[in-house]
Amino acid sequence: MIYLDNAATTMIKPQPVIDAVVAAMTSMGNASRGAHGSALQASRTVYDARCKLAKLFGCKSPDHVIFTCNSTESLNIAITGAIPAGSHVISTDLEHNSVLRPLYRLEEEQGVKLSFVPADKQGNIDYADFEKLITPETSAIVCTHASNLLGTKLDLVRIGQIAKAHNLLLIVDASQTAGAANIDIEAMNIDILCFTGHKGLMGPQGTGGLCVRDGLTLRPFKVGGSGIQSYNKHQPVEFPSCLEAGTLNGHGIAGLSAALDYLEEVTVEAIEAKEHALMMRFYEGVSKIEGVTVYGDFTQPRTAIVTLNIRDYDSSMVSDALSEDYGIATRAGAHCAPRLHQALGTTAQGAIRFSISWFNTEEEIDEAIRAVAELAVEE
Amino acid sequence: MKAKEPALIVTFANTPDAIAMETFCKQNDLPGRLIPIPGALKAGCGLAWKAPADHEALFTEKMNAAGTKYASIQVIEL
Repeated sequence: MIYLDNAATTMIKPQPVIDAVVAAMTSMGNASRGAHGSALQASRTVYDARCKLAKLFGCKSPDHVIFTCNSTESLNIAITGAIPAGSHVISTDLEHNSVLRPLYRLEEEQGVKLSFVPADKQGNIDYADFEKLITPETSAIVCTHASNLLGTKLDLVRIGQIAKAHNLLLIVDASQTAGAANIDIEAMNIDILCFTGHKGLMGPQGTGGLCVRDGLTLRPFKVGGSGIQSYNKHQPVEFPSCLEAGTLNGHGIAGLSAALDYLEEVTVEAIEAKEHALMMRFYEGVSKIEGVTVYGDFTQPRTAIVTLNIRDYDSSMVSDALSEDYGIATRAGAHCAPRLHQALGTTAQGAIRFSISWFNTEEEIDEAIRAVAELAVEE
Repeated sequence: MKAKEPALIVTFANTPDAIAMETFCKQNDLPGRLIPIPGALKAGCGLAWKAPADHEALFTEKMNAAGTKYASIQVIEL
């Protein structure tokens, strides 16, 4: 199989990630739950992973790296925990439902008002729109670092400057960029960075987290066991326990820790460069094929995604043909990105997303181009 | 159970601080190990660093110099 659905999850993992999970499952106790050898080993593993993530993202305090199951959980913690009822939030048309649905819930249940920076037909936004949408009630900007549908990357330095100038919280969904592009919390003025472990970071599914700026407090999304302060009726206020009720996915975090070692060795810069080169090879190949419509602006910064349609064919049928007839894994449909599909005019047809990883090769890309060309031949 | 004897006990606000202490002690050749927090100090659960009782001044000096995060440092009978 040629796996080109890496924006959903990077299926191919570095071998040390797999080895670390297996080792953890045969030796690891419960982190922060006791002082015997296996519990301490778990606590050390989790702490090491916190330190590595803090270093990767430029987070000053490892204890402000919070582990969750995925970006969606992180975004729910951030959005429901940091945005005041009745305030106003600015987001964008590029967002995934992991951002949109928590915001819509706040709108319905907490009287939060929402505004969205619109995307044009190429998926680009006008940064001046952020300033135009700010009102006296605006409390936060919540936005993706890169669209999961088109790969369009937002300029977080610029958005961070706007947020800082207007004293707004900046909550960022880095699902598509963590491990695949450089992120610097300080330079980008990010207050809460939400990430998943199983995409660009190449760790196991069921891992993710958020980095919270020092001095920021969030109402816990869930409360419960913490391993400390057992007679306290409330969740401890100390980070990270305040936002980590219940047993962590220690086995997954062990794998994520190994993935972070791998990333440090190969470097995010090398990954980004290789993925970008493969993406451009694919884009240049498919964009010349008659009947193929490629979406997005390839002159702008982006992640390694190429999204297209063939003629007026149902995207699901094309994706199925790619899988069944060519052994190529892609993602069709709406990609949990309703507002961007509306902006592109593709709600009915959907689109076929090809998303590339560090482990893909030029040969795989060329085979995928040939497959698209064959499917595009008019009957 | 062993007979009680004085021990230096360092407590922490959270588990990451306790694990960081372990790393700090290894790097600085400071003796001791992580133990469950003694009930005499705090009912509940969590981790504490146990070291020889006569090392209080050394630990205090080194930890403060390095900015190591801890909640308390004291000698108790354990």
